[in-house]
Amino acid sequence: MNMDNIQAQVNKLSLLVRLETIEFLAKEDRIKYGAAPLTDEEMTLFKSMANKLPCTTRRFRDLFEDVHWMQQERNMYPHPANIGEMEWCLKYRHIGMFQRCEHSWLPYKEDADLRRLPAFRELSKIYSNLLANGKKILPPVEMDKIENEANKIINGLALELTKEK
Amino acid sequence: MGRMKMEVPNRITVDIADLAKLSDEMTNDNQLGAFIRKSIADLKAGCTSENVDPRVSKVFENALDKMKCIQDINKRYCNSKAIEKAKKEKKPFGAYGHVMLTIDEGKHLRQLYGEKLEDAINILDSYIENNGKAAKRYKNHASVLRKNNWVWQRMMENEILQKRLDNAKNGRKSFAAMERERNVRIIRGEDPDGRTDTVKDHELSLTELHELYG
Repeated sequence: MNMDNIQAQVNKLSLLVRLETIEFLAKEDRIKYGAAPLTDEEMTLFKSMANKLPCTTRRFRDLFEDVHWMQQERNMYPHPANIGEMEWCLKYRHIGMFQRCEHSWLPYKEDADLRRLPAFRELSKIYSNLLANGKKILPPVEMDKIENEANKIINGLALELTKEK
Repeated sequence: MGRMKMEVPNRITVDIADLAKLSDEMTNDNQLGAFIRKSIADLKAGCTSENVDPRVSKVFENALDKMKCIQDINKRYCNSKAIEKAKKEKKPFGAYGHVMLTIDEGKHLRQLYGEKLEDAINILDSYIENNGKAAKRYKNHASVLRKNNWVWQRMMENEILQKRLDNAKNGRKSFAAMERERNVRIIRGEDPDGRTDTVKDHELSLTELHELYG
């Protein structure tokens, strides 16, 4: 079992799960509140902007709900959530402080709609193989950040060694 | 240019603005100005003056000649019977010259059809050319060309047909047709917008996904 290969697959599939979750929730939101569906270009833009928000995949559905609570509290006419409102809620409401949770890159077990997404099905196959082999499920890892941090440490050590000499 | 009616036996209107201008120009010499003003007053009264001052004889003669010319012109165009006759006179229009319209009818139809009046006239003209009985049946061609009659409706149909041909040529479709095609694609499970070269997210690599979505 090539763990590097599995890690790469997990990294890609977890990102796909996140993007598909965002797309599903955005479409559902627009249908619930009677707005016109987003075009391909608008959906791509929405997904890219939502992906950059400091919100885990698991808490995205809660974020959408929190946005609608905020609209209700402010006596706004109910409308689909937009990126600005989501960003504001993450910054100034409790949803932004309760992001730390177990398996944050996966949707809730009770959320049957999101667990039916194709990317999650592929990911669940990989995890079932790992569990069958007695191993634990692998979380996604950002290899670029790890490499950058490792390089920083190595460069710092090298500088100190040269200074001492 | 002011028009003044003069009381003469045949009731002719005369334009003597030229004489009035002369009198204004010659106000420096009061005698001349007064003489010309007297002449104008005599003309208004219906008689010409024979007291011609040699200093202004040429000017007055020219003005009188001009006035006579204006009188002749006004005889032709200001006579009420001649005017009425000209208004009622119908002229032939169209490629074959079957459509007969007066000036006022032509003006009204021009407002109705705009630039496409010639096309409407040619429709009626060709119909009369091909149907011998239509010439007797249609006594008033302006009423045949009026709004909501068969010529008007034929013009509207031609306009719609032309628009459809332009749309088909340029590949444009109506909103209803586009919506129907979209629904058919959704039922078939294809991309609703008809794109065949779209790339799904799962076909991209991780680096490409990061580039696209951050």
